[in-house]
Amino acid sequence: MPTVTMVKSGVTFEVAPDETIMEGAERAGIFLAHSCLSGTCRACMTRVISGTVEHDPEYINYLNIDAFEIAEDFRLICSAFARTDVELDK
Amino acid sequence: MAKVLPPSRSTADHTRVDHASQILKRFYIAERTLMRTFAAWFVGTSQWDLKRQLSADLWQTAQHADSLRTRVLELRYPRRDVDRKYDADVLAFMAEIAKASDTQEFIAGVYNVVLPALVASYHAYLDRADALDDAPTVYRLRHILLDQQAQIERMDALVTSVHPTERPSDAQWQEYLYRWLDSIGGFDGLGEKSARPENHICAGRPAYVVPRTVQRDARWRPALFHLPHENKYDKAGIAAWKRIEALDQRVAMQVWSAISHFNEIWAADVPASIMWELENETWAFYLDLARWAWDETRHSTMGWRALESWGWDVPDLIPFAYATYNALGSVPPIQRLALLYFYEEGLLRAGTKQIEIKILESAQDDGSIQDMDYDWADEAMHVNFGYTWLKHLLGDDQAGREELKRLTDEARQIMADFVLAHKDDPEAQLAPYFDRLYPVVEKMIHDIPDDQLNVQWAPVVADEAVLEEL
Repeated sequence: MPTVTMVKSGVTFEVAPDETIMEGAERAGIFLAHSCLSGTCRACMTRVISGTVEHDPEYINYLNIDAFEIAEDFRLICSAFARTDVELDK
Repeated sequence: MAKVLPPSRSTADHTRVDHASQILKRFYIAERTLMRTFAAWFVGTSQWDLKRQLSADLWQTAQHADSLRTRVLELRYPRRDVDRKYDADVLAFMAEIAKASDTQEFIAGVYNVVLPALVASYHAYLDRADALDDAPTVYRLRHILLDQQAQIERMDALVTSVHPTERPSDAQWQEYLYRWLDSIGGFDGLGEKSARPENHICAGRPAYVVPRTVQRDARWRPALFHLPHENKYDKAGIAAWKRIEALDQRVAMQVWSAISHFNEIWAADVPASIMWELENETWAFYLDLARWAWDETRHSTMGWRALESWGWDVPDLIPFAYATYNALGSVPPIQRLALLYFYEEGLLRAGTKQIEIKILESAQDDGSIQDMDYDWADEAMHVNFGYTWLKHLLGDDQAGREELKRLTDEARQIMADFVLAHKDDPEAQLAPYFDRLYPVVEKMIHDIPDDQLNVQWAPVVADEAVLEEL
């Protein structure tokens, strides 16, 4: 399972392939700011420092994130999967 | 001679699809305009009980308009025309409704003339309609009728308690609106048309202008701010609040969340004012802003309910503030929306609601937990509204993003300048409230097992420097 590391807090947890990063954090008992859990409120938007984080392709067109934000490595982690080990700017 | 079977049944006049869609579009226009008029007068109304009802009826009216609009489009009506080519006579009549001289007159006009006339028109439609052929309309109108009859009954009871005396001018206003409505043949346009009441004493009033500044209910003392994070210069207010905090973080959060919810009414005034000022936006824009305004009124009511539940003299102990709306009253509507969006997104991104719920859970205050929980769900939706509609208004490109940032930064500065300019006003001082509140709270607190709550919480405000100083 990919490992997610939150660089600022030093917290690490694992996520299953079919589990969003937010779900993985919740299962691990880690507090992350979130609200809608559907990628529309932007509360969970986080910059990816390294690794591959992919938005859920099933509802990618409904996510409230701009192309330039994605280009700057931001992701809505309530609606995204870690495809490799990743480091997040949190 | 041609040969035919006898007619399978007879039908009423005006029930063919083309007629039905035209009549239903008139109803849609009436409800749509009524919704915006409710929004306008919601802002213009300070009396707390009436304001709550106007907000609820604003949202219900948005649902009615949406339901009718959907049905119009089902009746072979061109999508490109549903939000244009409005019946000019319906629009002209609806524009008159907003020209009431005050809230009491507005309510008399809407709840004694407009809504009863809509109810009568819907009943007339149902009497004509074939319950099988036009069943989807029958379903929609029956549900709208349930709402509107309840709206009329609720307001009748409420207004009798708030304004027990009907003024002669209210009767004149109602008579004017009756005559106006007759002049367009009623909402369905099928009635006989009389002459417009152009020489009536109520005719010729200027168009309604949504207030740039608001007042709160006269039962409360005028107050600019409601909690100390809004005014970093109010050292006495901050000190008075810290006495309450010192009782217990949980107690402070119970009080803070109730006061904070109660004062969310400004966040209802903002979208409501925008609904009136921006006249020609796409339908979904109004539908979302109507929801936003009603949600914030619900949040305000949640706070008020909690404060009342503790048996407190709320107008004496709790500030009901107006600074946030008034500070930005003169800026363009889009800029007001930008600041509201900035505040709400900031709250969610900081995880503030989650932390507040944790503290309330530690306080074992089920009512406050639930209020915050639903408030949180609503706010997540509002950020979606703000994100969507600011892009729509400013452009979904780099220029639009830069303009949003410019508008937001400027609005934050206006807000900061307002606080500075008013920092010494008597209405900006919160210490008297918290000094009165402290012994009331202290007397009510009781012990529960300590769950070793270990949560750091700070109020989130636009100005980070304020946070640091707190």
